[in-house]
Amino acid sequence: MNNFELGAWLMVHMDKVVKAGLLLLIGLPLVRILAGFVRRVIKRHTTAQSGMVTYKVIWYGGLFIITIMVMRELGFKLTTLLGAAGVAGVAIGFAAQTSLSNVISGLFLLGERPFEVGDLLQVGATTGTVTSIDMLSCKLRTHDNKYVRIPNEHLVKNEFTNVTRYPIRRYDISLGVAYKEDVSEVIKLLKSVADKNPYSLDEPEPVILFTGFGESSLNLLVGIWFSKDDFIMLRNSINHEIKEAFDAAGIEIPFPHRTLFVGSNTAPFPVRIVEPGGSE
Amino acid sequence: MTPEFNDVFQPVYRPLTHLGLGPLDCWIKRSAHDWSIAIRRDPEQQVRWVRDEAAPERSEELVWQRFPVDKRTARLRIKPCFPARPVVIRPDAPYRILPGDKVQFFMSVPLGLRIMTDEAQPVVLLQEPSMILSNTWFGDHAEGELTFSLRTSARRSVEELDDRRYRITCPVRMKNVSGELFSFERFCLRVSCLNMYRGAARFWANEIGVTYKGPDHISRVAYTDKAPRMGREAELIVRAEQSADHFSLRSFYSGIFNL
Repeated sequence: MNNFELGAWLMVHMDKVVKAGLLLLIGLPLVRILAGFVRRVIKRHTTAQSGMVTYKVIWYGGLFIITIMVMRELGFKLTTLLGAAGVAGVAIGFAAQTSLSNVISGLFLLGERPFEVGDLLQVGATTGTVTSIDMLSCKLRTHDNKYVRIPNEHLVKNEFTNVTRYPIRRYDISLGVAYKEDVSEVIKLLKSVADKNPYSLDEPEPVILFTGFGESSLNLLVGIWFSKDDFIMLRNSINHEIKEAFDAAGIEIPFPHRTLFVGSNTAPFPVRIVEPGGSE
Repeated sequence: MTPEFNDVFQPVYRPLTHLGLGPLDCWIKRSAHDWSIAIRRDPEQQVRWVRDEAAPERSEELVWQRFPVDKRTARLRIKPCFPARPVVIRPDAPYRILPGDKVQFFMSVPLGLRIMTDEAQPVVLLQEPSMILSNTWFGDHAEGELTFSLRTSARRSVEELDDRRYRITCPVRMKNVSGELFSFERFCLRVSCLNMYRGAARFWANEIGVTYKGPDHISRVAYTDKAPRMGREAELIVRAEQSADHFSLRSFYSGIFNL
């Protein structure tokens, strides 16, 4: 169709073109406003995730309907188009296997709901807050404000951890004390530190275990339960308080050290203590 | 006497007002354009209620919150308040109640301060408990709720109650109508269902009745809607945020009673 033919076609079908244009101009913003309104209402009454899914269903559904209406208005025969779409679909399917796999995986994720917008997700070495669950991928924002895109297929195929799925979590601290210390007294002290910390839950009770004999220390595990929103406050306060309590009670946290023997029949290494001034 | 909370607070003519409620200190300052509010806690102070113009020591350490003065905030209202979440109260030692017995306990929760605008739909500028309570979890790990935790000596009579004017005393009557021992280990006090009354010697909350029917039956927790018998002359100063409905929760373990 050259310029003259296009102009003639436009002159003949001006009313249809105007109608199609109006449909696009009015329909698209209307669908967007409707989707946004429904999202706000649903988010207020349920979750951000449900709001986002509803928004996308309305937006993509509306987009599809408006496209069909515009094409009909412009005189396209839908039956022919759908037939062509079937043939094209096979070709596109082969060409876009990865994308389709991501779309299908996205549907599984939306159905299974292993996480929602706002959850803290750990995928491999990446940990971040889910900002959106889209057709092809999920987006995370890491703690240091990086944007991470994870294809949906990857999430369906691989293991990931939803850190904030449950309302309470346990913060585990591994620490060691010197061999000279009385372990029962240390456990009692750790329990009292946990009791006094306002972010540490009284129930479930803190778990304090004597886990074994290390190379340089008696090893302990302190597991403190907390409400998931209090993680930063708990971590900042409890480590500080344990150190303060150990210092106050004179409990030593040893650094790695090694005792050397040069054989039972040999004399010990000669050691001379030198005064700071240089005299022995 | 228990602390008096003036309904409307307008310290326009005073440069500074200091409120001391148990371990909590609160300073309110009014300048030409702003209200400034600061708080601090002194764990050494336990039994006290002061209202004066004392300036804070180490004032450079205080963090002031400022609010612009406009029509809505020309006057502020100060009210006492309950803790912001339910409180799980555990007796120092589990208490066992014999079948058919009725027992009266007195439990108490710390009073808090709520500073808000003086209007029909007030905006809360600040809400602070007089003492920081520890958190605890009530229910199972996936579905429970975050509450505050308190230990109680579960006193049995008014005479045994000590002078703690910054606490709200809540009488709880427990009745064991089952045929077996009732082991009372913890109790979830839903403070949003409680009224607050100002008595001569202490603040009161409405009485709660607990009926234990056995480990396999639903137990009944009833929040009454009136001042307790021992504080009939007390004046109602704070209404419950939720209606004093009946709460019923099932005991979680046979032989151990958690409400």
